[in-house]
Amino acid sequence: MKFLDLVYKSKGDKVNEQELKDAALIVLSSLGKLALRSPYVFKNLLEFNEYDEKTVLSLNEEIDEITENCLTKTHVQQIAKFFDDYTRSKDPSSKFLTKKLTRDLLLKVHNHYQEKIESGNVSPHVLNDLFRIYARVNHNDMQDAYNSFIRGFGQTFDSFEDRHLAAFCRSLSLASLAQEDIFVSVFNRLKELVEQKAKQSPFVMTFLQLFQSANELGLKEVSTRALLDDCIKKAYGLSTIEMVEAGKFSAGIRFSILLNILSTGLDENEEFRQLAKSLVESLDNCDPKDFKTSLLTNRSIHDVLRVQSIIAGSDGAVTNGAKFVKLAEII
Amino acid sequence: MGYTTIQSGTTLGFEKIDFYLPEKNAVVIIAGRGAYNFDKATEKSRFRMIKRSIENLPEKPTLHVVNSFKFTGMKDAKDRYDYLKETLGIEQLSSEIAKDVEIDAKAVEEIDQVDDEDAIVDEIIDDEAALETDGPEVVDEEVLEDPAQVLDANEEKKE
Repeated sequence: MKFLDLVYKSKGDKVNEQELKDAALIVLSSLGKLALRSPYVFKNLLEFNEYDEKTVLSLNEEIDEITENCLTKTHVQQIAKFFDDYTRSKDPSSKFLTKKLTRDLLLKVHNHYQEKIESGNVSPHVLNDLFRIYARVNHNDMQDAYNSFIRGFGQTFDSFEDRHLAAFCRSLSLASLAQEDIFVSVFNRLKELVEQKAKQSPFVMTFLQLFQSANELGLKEVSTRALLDDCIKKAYGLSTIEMVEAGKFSAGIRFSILLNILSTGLDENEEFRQLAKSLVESLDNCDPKDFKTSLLTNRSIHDVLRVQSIIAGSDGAVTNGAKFVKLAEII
Repeated sequence: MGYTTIQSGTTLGFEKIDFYLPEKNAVVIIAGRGAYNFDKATEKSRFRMIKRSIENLPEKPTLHVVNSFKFTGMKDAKDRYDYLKETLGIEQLSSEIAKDVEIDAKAVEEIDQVDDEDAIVDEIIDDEAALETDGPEVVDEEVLEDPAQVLDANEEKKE
């Protein structure tokens, strides 16, 4: 009930109280709104806090005011960061932040900053933070917000660095939005940055992330180009595949790539089949303990079993994966 | 024409499936939001992997997918019936399976709706876990997870 007390305390002219940061108020107010919708919380609120029903109901309007106040007084960057952090938080209180509530809140933030977002007056970081939240709660009724983010993305495209571009595509994938044109533009831009050698950033990882995002959406052409294009080789001497084969990446990443190749059926392509073979072989050679720790800490056991099933059923098209199967059995 | 046994909610290999028709060795999956992109038609790669994995099970079952959006979107019962016949590739369809599939497809839709009221944290944890890699010792590994954060962290360290 503490958060409700905070919401209550923070109403009206006490909105600037030191113990409550402006951005936190937005989330708190949304939590308060949720609580008002719950009969159980509502009842408790009346009993334990000695508020009368009218007061509690009037909180709803005040909460709206508080939110609006916060939006006016707080910088969009703070809001975006706080909001994004909070939705990812494992804090027990964040369980009150449902998809629907997050949507309401995001729409409020969006409406308030729409002009700023669309005219490209927010940094790539802010745009990505807000777009990531949008991606998690994507819904049919959020078309306006989506259009704004895309317009904003277009306006600020040139100031996006490789990592921002990859993060934007990651959000598209999270929202299940297969916008091939955006992926192609991002790929071309990344290629341009590699060719310019704009900075010594680990571009290869950005390409891998693009590969993963495009692949999850079933955009075969982009994912193929992201992994096979020779721009990385020209700039850094080794192609992405050669880096993967040379064991530059951990078992977790290698498994991720393998999973992506097999899930979309990219192994029909000879180059991908070869890559899948060497990935299976290298995973075969993993220490069983490492394999178990690195994969099962972060992956569902089903994914491992599915990969094993696909390998076993591929009639040697990928490889026999005998050791891999054994490793899966250990699990 | 004999009876066709329909097993619902069984597990084949390690995959939990909606319906299994043992005589035909056929699997029927009711697919909803988790299986399709936002257009409700093109499949996500995770779903393709599940399909591929089922087809590769030792039993080598035939796989049929019912798109719950399409199915529940049909108002006329006859349209639903025809859609099922076409999807399952059979000429006759018992009313039991039509009813069962209807119940299941509605359940998938309802789960999607309930999901809206669920906290988003679990989904996020799942999603991030799916991308997570082996650990902090190699910076590159984390970049796959979230390049922006890792690079920021590196820049902070340098400072």
